Amino acid sequence: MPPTPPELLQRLQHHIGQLVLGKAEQVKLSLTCLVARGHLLLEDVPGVGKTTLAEGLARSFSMSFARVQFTADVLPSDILGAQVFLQARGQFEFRPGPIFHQVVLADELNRAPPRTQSALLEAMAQGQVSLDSVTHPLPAPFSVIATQNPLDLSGTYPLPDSQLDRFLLRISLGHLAPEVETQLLMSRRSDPLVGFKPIADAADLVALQNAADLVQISKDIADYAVRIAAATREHAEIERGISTRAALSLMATARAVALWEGRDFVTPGDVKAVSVPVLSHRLLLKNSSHGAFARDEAAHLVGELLRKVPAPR
Amino acid sequence: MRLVERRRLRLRLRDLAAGSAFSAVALSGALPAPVAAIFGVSFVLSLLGKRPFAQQRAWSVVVLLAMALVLFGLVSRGVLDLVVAAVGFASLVTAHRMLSEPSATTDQQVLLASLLLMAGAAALSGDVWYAACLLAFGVFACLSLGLTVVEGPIERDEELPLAPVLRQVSIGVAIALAGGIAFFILFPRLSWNVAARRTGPGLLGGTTGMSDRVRLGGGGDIKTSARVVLRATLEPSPKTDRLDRYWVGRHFDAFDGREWRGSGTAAAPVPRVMLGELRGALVQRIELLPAYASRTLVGLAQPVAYGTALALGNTGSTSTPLVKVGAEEVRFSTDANAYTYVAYSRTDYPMLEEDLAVLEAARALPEDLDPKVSELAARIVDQATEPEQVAAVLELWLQRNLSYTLELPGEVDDPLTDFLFERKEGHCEHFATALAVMLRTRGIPARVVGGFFGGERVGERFVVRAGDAHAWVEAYSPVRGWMTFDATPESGRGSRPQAVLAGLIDAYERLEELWRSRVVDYSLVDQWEFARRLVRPPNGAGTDDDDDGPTPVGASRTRTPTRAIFVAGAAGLIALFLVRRLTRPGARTHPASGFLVQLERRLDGLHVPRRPGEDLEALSLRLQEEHHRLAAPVGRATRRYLEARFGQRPLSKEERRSLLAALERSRR
Repeated sequence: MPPTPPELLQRLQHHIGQLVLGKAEQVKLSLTCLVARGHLLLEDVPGVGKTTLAEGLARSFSMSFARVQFTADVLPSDILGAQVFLQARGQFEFRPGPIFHQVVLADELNRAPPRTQSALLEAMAQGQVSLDSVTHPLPAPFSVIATQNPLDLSGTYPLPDSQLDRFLLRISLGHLAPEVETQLLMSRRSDPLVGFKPIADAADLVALQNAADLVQISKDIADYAVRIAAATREHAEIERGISTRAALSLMATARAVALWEGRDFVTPGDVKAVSVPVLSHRLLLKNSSHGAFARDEAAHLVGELLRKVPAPR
Repeated sequence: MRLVERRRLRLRLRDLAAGSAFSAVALSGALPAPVAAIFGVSFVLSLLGKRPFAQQRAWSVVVLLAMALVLFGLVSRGVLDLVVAAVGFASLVTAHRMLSEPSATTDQQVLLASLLLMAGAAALSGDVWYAACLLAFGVFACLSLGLTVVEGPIERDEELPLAPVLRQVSIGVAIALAGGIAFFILFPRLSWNVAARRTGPGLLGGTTGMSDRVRLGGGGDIKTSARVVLRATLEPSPKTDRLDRYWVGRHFDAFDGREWRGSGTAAAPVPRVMLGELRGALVQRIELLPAYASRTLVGLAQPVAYGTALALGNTGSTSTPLVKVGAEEVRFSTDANAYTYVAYSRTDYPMLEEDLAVLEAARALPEDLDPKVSELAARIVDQATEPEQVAAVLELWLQRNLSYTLELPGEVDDPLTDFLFERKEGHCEHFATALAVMLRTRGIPARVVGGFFGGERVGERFVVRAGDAHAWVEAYSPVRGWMTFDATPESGRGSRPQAVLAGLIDAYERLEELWRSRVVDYSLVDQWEFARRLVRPPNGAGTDDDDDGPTPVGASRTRTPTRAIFVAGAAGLIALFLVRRLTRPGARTHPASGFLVQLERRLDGLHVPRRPGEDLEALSLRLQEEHHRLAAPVGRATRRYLEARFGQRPLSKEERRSLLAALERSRR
């Protein structure tokens, strides 16, 4: 008998938790992001386990994984792939790029030039790559996990708001708690990914995704989301509130979170739990600045709105 | 506005509602003074936010029970009326609950006890200020209850703007009041006259000049009083607005130079007193109000019969026999606050063979009468001998040569001589005395009559005011019997109230009349009439487009019922508006939300600490993390609530109860 969604999710959380210590909440959110068919934006300083988390996610589901290190000279064809002329046969052939994997880690996405960024983001949005009027479908399930360093901004091309909108969640891992870090230093000897075994497969993820689709949203919940969205649009410190796509993302994530509890309906608590990671990177603040400060402020504003907008009772 | 302020406002409104209900009882004047004082003190304490009984639950209940025993002891000894005692006890209960620990239950108890007070007040009195108190009670109680309801779906420390909430609640209150009025008008009334009439002297106190004797001297303050003392329905009803006729009260035939008094003896009590020929008499259904404060019956000149008398006391109305006192008056045999009776009067003078003794008494002159008076009379009358002629000449002379005033300071030894020769001005009693004495000096039997002059239409009825009190003269002619003469100049008859006060009292009387005829006496017949008028305008009565004179009967039959269409349209629009408003999405609360409120109350009762802004879902999660002993039952209840609220799996009553009971169990 296959495990129920909550069982499977708990098991996966625990499994990945052995890889990324002390980050149960972030692991839960990134799993939720996968279940909601979303792309994840990890924003943090180097060396806190972003890559490990991304690869752990891919490996747990035994999905194909590719890592692309973005730099200022990466071109779209380096990611999407290119037509290569085969002299032997005298014709062009499509060589798929690293994006043709189920989980793609786009490391330091903001270092790539906008042209490359937008090529990636188009692929993320459409789930396919079009080159020279030939459409190449991407593998399913497909998910991009991008990372950004919010502190070292010199020589970067910050993602425009329209492209940030394509990431379902933005989370940051942060430094480990001292006791966890101590334990890690004592126990870890080699790359933990070596010998990291999958405990599920892509079909399980698809099943979870389908189960999340069946989670119901009552009228009051939808109304709640609309009121939250309206509140962001009316807030004095927010230049531009969230879009309808963002509200849709909020509902999709809430559906996936409801699955953790084995519920087939969304509660206000689900909405509250995912509002900060779903909404905070989509707000354009009045005193617009980039970096960690803006991120904290946006998260704080979302929290304040959640307290102010009455939840349905 | 935060929770604390909201609660304070709610308690104030609750106390005001209780205060209004108590005013309704207190204004009836029936409540024992100690009870009123206790309630007054409690009301003030409660308004100040002091609740001394919050900690003294047991003791205060013992005190309350002791008071109840005292009250009912008084009832059993016959000192106190049962209804009054019950209302008094309800007042004490209200006061006790007001001073107890404030909670939703206490609020409801206070309002319930106040409702009892309101019902008791209806039994004690049904006057127009009862309506005012009822209105105030309804508004305050609805607002207080409305705020309680609003408290449910909002977070406990949530900032709540007061204005929109009060606006919404006020709309609800207005709809409720309108509904109450519509219910009153349209729902068939099976009872008759539920509210009692006023039995105390009322807010303005009793005033009247109807006494056993008329003493000359002093001013005439009563002339300025606009208090209504008498109301009468006349059959056939005259078409005028001002009646300006004499209302006979009592006769005085003995004068000692300073004051008039009666000399008759009382006969045995009878249900009906006949004074003359009843045929063709004008029928008056008369109500003597508490302000009248006397037992003498009054009837339009000349009364020929009195009957069907009811005395209205604290315990309802009882029929009372009448006593005829000589030739001078008819009085009620029992004391009461107010009376109703029927009087019959004829406009002509009943030709009666008078006793010689009566006539002799009506000729008697005071021993120390100044001879100047009879000299003056002789000079004025000159040659005339016929009683009518003599009386008319004297009446005219007095009217022309002496002036009317109410300013008569100081006492004089011989008021009559002083009036005729020194001061040459006086009020109606002086004019009447002068005329009667001068007639007597000419050998014509004459007596002074005390009563009222006037009668003003208010609504269906005619009212007589205390200021209408008047005195005039009846002279006896062997040919025509007793005839009325009035030496007072016309400007001095009737009341002369101060304009502003009269306006106010007039407005009050009109309101009271409206309340009485439209509310207290509103019956099934009136309802039928109302419904009929809605459907079809009455025959002959013009509608808006046609109000010049009566229309032929045939025309009104064929006319389209404009008014009915208009009313039906208006009612339809109101109904549509209400339905729209009430079924607007979000206006209704979800059935599961009630369970949430119950659950949260229960958690408060169990003293589960909650963080600001923490909802049930978050609380349940936190309890689980903390391994709280209530984590399991709260988690179950929360899950079921969420399923019922957002997952379309309704919660049955039994399930609710068992979830709450599980919570109680795990507390131990």
